[in-house]
Amino acid sequence: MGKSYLSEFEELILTVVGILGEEAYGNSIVEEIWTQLSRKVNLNSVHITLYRLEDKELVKSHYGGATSARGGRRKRLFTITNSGLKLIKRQQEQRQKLWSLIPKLKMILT
Amino acid sequence: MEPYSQTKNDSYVKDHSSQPELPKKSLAFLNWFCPDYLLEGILGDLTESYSHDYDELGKQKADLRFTKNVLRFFHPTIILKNDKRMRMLNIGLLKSHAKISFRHVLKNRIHSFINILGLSISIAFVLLVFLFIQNEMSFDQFHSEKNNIYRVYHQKINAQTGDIKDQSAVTAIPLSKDLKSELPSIQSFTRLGSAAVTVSNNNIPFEEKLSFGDADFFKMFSFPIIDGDDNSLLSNPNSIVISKEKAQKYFGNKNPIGETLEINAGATTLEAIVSGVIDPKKDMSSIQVDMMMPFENFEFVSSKDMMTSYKYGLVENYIQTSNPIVREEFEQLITDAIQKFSPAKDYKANLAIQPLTTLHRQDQILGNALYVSPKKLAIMLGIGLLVLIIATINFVTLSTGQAIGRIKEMGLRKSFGAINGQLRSQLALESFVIVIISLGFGLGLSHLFHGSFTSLTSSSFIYNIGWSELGFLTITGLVIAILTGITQAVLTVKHKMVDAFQGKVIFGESRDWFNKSLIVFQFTLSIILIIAAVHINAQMAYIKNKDLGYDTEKLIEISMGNPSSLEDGKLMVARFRTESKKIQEVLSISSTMNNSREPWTELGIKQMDESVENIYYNQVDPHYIETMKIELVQGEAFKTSVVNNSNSILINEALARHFSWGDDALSRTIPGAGLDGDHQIIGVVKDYHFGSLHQNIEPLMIALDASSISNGITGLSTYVWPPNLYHILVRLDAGDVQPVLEELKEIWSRINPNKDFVYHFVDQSLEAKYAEEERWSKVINMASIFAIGLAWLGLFALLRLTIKKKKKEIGIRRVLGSTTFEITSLLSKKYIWLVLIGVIISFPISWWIVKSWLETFAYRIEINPILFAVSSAAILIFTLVTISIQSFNASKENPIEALACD
Repeated sequence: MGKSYLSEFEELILTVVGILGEEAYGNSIVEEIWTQLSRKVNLNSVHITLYRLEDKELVKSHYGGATSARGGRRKRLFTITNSGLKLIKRQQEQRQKLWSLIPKLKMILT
Repeated sequence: MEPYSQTKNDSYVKDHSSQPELPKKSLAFLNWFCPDYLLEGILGDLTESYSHDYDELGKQKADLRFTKNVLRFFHPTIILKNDKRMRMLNIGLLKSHAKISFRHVLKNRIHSFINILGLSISIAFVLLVFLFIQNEMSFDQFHSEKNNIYRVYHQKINAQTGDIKDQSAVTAIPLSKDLKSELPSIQSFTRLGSAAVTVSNNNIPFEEKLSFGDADFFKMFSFPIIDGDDNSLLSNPNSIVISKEKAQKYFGNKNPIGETLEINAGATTLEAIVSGVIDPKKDMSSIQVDMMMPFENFEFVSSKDMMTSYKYGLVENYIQTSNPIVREEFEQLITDAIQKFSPAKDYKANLAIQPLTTLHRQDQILGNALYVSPKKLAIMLGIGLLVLIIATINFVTLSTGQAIGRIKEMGLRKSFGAINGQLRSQLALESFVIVIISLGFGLGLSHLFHGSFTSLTSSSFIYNIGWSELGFLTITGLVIAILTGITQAVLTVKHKMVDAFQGKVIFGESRDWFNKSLIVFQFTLSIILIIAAVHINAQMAYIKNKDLGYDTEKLIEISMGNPSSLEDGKLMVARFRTESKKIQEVLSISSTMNNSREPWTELGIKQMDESVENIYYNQVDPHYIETMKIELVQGEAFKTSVVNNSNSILINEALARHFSWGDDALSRTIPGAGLDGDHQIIGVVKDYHFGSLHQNIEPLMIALDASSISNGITGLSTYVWPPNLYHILVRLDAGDVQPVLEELKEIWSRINPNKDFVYHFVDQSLEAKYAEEERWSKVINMASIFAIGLAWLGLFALLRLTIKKKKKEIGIRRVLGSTTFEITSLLSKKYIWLVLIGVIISFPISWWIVKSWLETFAYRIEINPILFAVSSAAILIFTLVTISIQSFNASKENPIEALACD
């Protein structure tokens, strides 16, 4: 899997799954992105991305935690796998490396 | 690898009662497309946000959001997860099905062969019909202004009854020009006239059709311009636009622009300079252009007087409107507008318009444009469908019949746990295999028969298989396969497997009934086709052999082109006569205004009471009656030895009958407001067919000179005008014609060095006149032979199956002492009944079809009951022979073998 790269959205979802630990499922991910980044994402794109990540074995899932608000249906909980963790770590490092290569930039205040 | 629970558990699909209920339809939709293993997670999340929305926003908004969300989940990533699983399940089974299908095709070689043969021939036929109809539909569609162009036509309406008396798109010359000057809504106009002229380049004369159009012609009609300046194609009076074929003919590979063609039109010789070359798109245009000159030159082939007169219908008038129009309003507008130019006394008619795009597929209002009768398109389509239906029926009966032998296989599969759906898909796949093979063969056959099909239908469509044709083939194939698949599956699968093992299952009553009705249907169609074909052939023979009232054999017409004046014409005839009289085989020579190929001149003669009498007119020389061998009933013919009075005319019996003159026609004159009785009727000729046999013989007058009646002529409805001699008639003696023709040609070119020698044998021209009917009778003949062949193949194969099924029964009967004859009659009885039912059903239908076709002929045969009887007897005997041969063979077999099988 060394060569796979993630899109911005995939990386976002993967990171949030990591953040939420044991509580990552569709709705909680949408909420987390909203509270952390004030960014609105659609439930379906979150699900679709999660399945894609699962196919790439970057996350894994299991059932748990049925609530009455869910009509008694279990949540599909996602957790990040080691290779998923490795991948965002690597991407993070690569970005840092590139960032450090930019000549000292000053933000010009106007 | 599937880590999640795969069974759909109803408990989590249903809602808890404490919860707000989810929108049902959206829920069902989600259930349908979402793979089971994802459903719980997705639906859980959706429900969670639903109950959240429900509390915050109320039921309506929550419902809406839920539905929106569900729709968003209808995403390839999710749907495809579904598919993959399904495919994985089916591939193994499909493989086994495919293998078994092919084995079956090979095992039942004869049946597969019959199926594939019938299907592929009919698919080829239907494909050709499709191409043919597609071509006819594409006519005139290439003009970019097609939706704004109309052809103006006139209709005479009976003021009392409101019936349309006469309608024609051949209209007066100034019509569209005057309309354009009156009405600003008309953007441009063109007249379209044509004439036969002699064209020469380097002194070699050719007879050509020359068209005449106005300056806007090539702006209105989008014929591709290959060469020349788009804007000035017809701007000079002596410019000529030619088709690429004619460019090739006259100039070869030389650039034709600026070259000169010499054109002999009437008394005038024009030097025309080629200003453009076009692609005439003859295979998709109703307007056929070979050569075109500016319209002002039409004067040379008609007359100065006609160019501004509303008396004569001579050309087609096309207009192009600048805006979309309402047809009825516009027709009223132009009818009113034209009153100013054409006082009602000359031209009392309503004007109406036809959209350019509809000209081709109608046969009610005719001009000079090419058309196809919609009835014929319908017949083609009908025959195509008929053939396909018969082939499909064969396919259905044979495959279901065959399936009998496979009840055991079905039973076995069922007992191993196959569900009905799987068995059905197997049967469907088998018909698919046959259909696909037939599609391939059909495509090949259609290519092979394209040539003969186009010549049979006298169409010139190009064999071009594109996406739409492939699409059509696919749909046809699918329909056949699905129909067959469904019928078989329904009839075969629904049996208890125990019955199947015991071999008990002979199909139930319902299947028998079904098969029987299909066979009856096939017989009905076959008998209808035979009866129709027999009558069409009889009628064609009747027309061919009908005595037309004059001798058509060994009679030649030689076209004289356009003599500049009557004197000129007479002189030309006289010179030709003097020269060719020397040939021994030439019996007599005459000349005529109208010929055997085209409609004759019809005059309108207004009466005192404003009504108009239509009388046909022909101008001849004194030898006409003698040369044509027309019988004289009263009075005398024109004198050939002494000079005739120029006011002498001959009439036909129909005219005398029309005015109810009885026996004293010779003392009468033709009535008319402008006729002063100057003419004298010197004789009455026996009615002869100068028109088509579709029409009755109409009133006709024959004159040497039009001057005595010209004052009475108030209208004209056909092309041949002004009165002159346009054709020489030569009556030959029996014997070899070829050397005589050579001599005549030699004489012709000596007298007219710059005119092409164009001749026709009258009997051949007449045959050509009915070529259309001939062709259709051939098409029907072919189709009926074809349909009967297919139906017979089907019957043959079905019988084989039945006999196979009854092998044991026959064996036992043989052992118990039945004779071959008894067995044969036992097997035949059932089928004879089916044929008889078919006969009974087909009689009224074919009677109606034959009757309506015959009614299009004024001279026709009676419907003949004997032909009905003979046709049905033929089918009956045919069936009987087929049955007898097969059952005879079956009964000859050693009964021990039959009983030992199984």
